[in-house]
Amino acid sequence: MEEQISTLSLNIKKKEIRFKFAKEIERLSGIDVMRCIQCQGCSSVCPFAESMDYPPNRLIRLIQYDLRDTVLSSSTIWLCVGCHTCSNQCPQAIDIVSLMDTLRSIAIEEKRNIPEPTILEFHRSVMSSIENHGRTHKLEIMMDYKSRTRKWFEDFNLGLKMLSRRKLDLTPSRVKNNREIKEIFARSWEL
Amino acid sequence: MKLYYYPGCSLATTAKECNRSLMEVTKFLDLELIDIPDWNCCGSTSAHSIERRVALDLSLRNLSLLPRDEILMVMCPNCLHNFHQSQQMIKLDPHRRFILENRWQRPIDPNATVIHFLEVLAEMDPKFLKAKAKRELKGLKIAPYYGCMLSRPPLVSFHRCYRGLIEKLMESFGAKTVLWPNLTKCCGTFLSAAKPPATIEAVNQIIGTAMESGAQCLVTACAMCQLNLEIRCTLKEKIPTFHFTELLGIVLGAEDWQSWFTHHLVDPVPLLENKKIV
Ligand code: SF4
Ligand code: SF4
Repeated sequence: MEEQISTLSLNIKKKEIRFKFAKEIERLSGIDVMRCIQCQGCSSVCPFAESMDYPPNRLIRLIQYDLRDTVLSSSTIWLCVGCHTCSNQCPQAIDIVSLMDTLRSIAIEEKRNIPEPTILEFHRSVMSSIENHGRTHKLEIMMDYKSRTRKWFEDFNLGLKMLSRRKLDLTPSRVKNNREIKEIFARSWEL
Repeated sequence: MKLYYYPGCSLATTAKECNRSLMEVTKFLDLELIDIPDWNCCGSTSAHSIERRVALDLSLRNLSLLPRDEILMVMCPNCLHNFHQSQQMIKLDPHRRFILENRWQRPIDPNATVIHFLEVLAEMDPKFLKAKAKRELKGLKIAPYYGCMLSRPPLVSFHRCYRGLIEKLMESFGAKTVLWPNLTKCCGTFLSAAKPPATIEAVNQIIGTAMESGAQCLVTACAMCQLNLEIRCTLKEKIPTFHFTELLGIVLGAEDWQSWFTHHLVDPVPLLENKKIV
């Protein structure tokens, strides 16, 4: 953080803040983070702000300050569950969920170090299930997630309880037109 | 009345009881539901979290399967939100719409009416609903719980506000609803699987404050919330969480309610018997 602050003051001295990162984000998502007035409304209602290294308003401040690396390697972008509690509150109508989505995709694309790897693995398990069947298959997601994270025994009893309450189907329900699903998941250059 | 229906993955799997009670309710209210043919998962939270384009296309494929000028009814608030969001996005970016329409050879209507079942009920004459009731909910104190997804973030803020609809519905059948602070607090969604401690804290707070406010149960419109509240609550004393369609089904005279509650992890039957509702 000290390092960041010194870069920051250096940048300010050199008058080098040109909101490069903010502009990049606006180009990718249409969101203008410079609109944020730092009222902290978002962070006061965010249910997971305490687990994050920077609560949402501070993350936005870091973007305004062009501290790209700090933002992209923060745990905030992974812990955000996209619940919209913040943007419902925001007087400037900033779509914080889309902002987090955009930051996450930049972090993935640039192969950044991910401080909450289990969360990314969970999303990948869900995506692979949708890609395979067109729908989510909860049991498969649980097993796939466990094999990715090697947390074999976490929630073991819960899994059994859910099975006994018939909350987990053994076989997936599938989309018939699988070709359309595969096309959705194909990278754009493959189409 | 005929409505097209998008069940979504939760209602088709982990929340079968919600789907079944909905079927009962629609039977009593003379609504005909037609499943969207060959629907796919809307991508839930994971798709837009890591691949926004895939998330958009998944929702749009579902939308393209809706016949022209028909109304689509959705039960899962997360799916509903994804529908609304995707409709807004193709209004802003018509290019994507044309690519997909071309690929699938089906039109995608960004203005199609996509609503939650609560909205269908809100449009009905309260007298009609009352006349159909065979039981009542007298003596039951309810904490209405909307979860976070029935909110209206910036892009879709012109949609209907759902708050108050559960209260109106439950009170019209004699239940009391309590005032409490966490009616739209997020249950933690996927953190329930990927980071359980964070969810446990949120869920305990939700159920704890509901109990402090004097509620005997929670009634929710979100199947994922219902599951998280049941599996992640570590409080010694717990109260059950109903899908709103379950209580409605019981009121309207459904007889197979026992089979719904076998899917619950916190058994609500003692409460219903205690209040002489069933
Ligand atoms: S609520 Fe909006 S304006 Fe206020 S700090 Fe958060 S993002 Fe900025
Ligand atoms: S969407 Fe993310 S940042 Fe906003 S309140 Fe929810 S968890 Fe916090």
